[in-house]
Amino acid sequence: MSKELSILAHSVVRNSSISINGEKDFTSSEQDFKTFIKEAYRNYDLKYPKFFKMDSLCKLAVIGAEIAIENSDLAEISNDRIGIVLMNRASSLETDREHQHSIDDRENYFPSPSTFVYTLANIMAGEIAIRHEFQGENMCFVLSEFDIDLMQQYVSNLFESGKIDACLCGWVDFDDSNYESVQYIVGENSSKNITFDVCTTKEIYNVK
Amino acid sequence: MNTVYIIADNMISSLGFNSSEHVEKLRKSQSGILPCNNSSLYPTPFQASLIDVSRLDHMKSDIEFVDKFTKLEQLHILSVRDCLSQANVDLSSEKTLFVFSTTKGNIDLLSKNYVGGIDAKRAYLHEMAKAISEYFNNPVNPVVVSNACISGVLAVNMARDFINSGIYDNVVVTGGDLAAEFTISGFQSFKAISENPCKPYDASRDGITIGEACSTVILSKNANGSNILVAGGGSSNDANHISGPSRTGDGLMMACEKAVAEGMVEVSNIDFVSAHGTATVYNDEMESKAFNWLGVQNIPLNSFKGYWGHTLGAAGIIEIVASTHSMRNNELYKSAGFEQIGIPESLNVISAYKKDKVDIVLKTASGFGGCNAATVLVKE
Amino acid sequence: MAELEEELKSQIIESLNLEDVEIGDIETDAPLFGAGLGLDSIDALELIVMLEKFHGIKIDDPSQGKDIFESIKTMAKFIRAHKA
Repeated sequence: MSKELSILAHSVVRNSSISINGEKDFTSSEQDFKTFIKEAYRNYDLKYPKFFKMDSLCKLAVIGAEIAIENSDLAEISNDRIGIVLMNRASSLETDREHQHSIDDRENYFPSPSTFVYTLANIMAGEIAIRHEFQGENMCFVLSEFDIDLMQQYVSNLFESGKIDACLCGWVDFDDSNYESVQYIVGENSSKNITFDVCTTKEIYNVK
Repeated sequence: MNTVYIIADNMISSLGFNSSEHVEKLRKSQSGILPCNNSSLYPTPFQASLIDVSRLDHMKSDIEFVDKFTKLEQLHILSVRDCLSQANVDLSSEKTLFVFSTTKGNIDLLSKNYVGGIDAKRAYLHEMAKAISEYFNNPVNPVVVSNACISGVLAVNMARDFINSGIYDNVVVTGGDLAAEFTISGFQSFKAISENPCKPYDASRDGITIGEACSTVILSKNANGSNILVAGGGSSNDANHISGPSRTGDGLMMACEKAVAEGMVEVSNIDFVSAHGTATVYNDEMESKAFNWLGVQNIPLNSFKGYWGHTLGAAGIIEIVASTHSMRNNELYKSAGFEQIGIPESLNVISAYKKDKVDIVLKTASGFGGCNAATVLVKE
Repeated sequence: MAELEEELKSQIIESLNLEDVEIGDIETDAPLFGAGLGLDSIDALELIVMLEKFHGIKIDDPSQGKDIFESIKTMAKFIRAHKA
């Protein structure tokens, strides 16, 4: 018997603005991502100095996750039962290019560990896990576009197999100053939340 | 609900281009790690496990339009082709999926010294995946799992899950990573690479050896003559630090528990643990704690990384394949590089090749980002 | 004499992405690791890179770092000793 699942909350970060559950919540006049995301950090008062060590992809992921998580009631769920399943298109290419640049010139050869550690797609999930102490299932897919069907199937299976009671799902992509984060918390069904299915996810993703 | 079998396998690394070449060397405890003096990979000499270039040139010569593929893509094509010679799977079917496991894919394309002529867009992991699945005329959108060093185990678990739930009949899971300048320089900046061939669990261990490899398994709902099942899996996050593992081993322990539960085996019935064993001080220490907590400290255990290094996105796959041969042949392979135990809690590290019953295997992996994954293999 | 100490404080803030930390916030004598700046193992490795990049001193054994990077004072002392 399939479990009935709901989306407890969702966040969208695009074009210097942040929405919560479909409503615009924060907008910046800054087009530059780094400036925008710092403003968002201050606006949401994260009080998390580690944020500034992160690369752009992780900053984007952490802010998007923060909004979705803060607007979900996960108090009853044990941290080892909360999973994180993320997808993107560019993996960590933004930071990969930075690392590559640091080794391109043998006369000026200074590979940096604090850059290299971010040259993996799943570190964004790691940063979210650390901040929120989520110890459940992990998965990071890299695809050409947000595969909502795959996400639906994979996450539903995780619930069916009894491995998780909640899941942070998302498409979080950063590539050459183009970015978007669409993240949502999936949990067991509750009448006041929207159903977790392909249609509702598409609606969330397609909102401008 | 379908039972899921491993019906074909291939390994490509410093030890050879197919599984039997690897098994022959595993039986002799022969490592493929050698000194590398290639300054285009790193300014000073280092130990590495590299695929034989001249043999690759020979092997790839019958790939159609071979120059349209990168080195890593050529390896995947060879690896998958070898699997196809073992099992009759219709890759052109909508019920066959390709799942790729890689950390960096065609990362060599980013270098200003790259001369291969392949479009830079193939640095995008999914573009690489499509180039390969389309070579085999597979109509389904391939999936790329890129989750640090646990990618291979996660990919196999996902494949099992999708066959089990009836979405696909067959899944080709292929994992690979290059020993690229990008990766070597990064791990060197972490001071994580040993000057000597890596020594997992050993008292004098002091770092990893990078290896390049490509390995493939085909999972199927049809036995096809195989009796090796992927029975269960699980993953977790330590939620501790992005590059350092948990000090308690809690995350790895939880991943193993989930795999064991789903696989419906008893911990006491596990015959062999194929662990991650990267040979860093902290990883091996963490594993010793996790495995004692789980209760597998007396079960024969090894790391395969002393043979072919840490192969990143290929690691989970190539080590699962080696484990299946351990099962098929009822033999245990030495944990290469191991001489004297040097971990805080005891483990039964395999110190020499021997024949023994191997019906149930626990395979584990841990990676940057604090992630862990485990899978249980069972002989039917 | 304090010029090197001030330079190091500025370099650390930049190399380790210590947002919201001013040069005046870092005491020359205070421990860099543990409480205070909250530096971790990656920061320790990054300091090794910083030492090579800005001061031309190479450290091959990261365990040496523990003593050298104890404080700004010990870092400056190490640099002066090596440049002498």
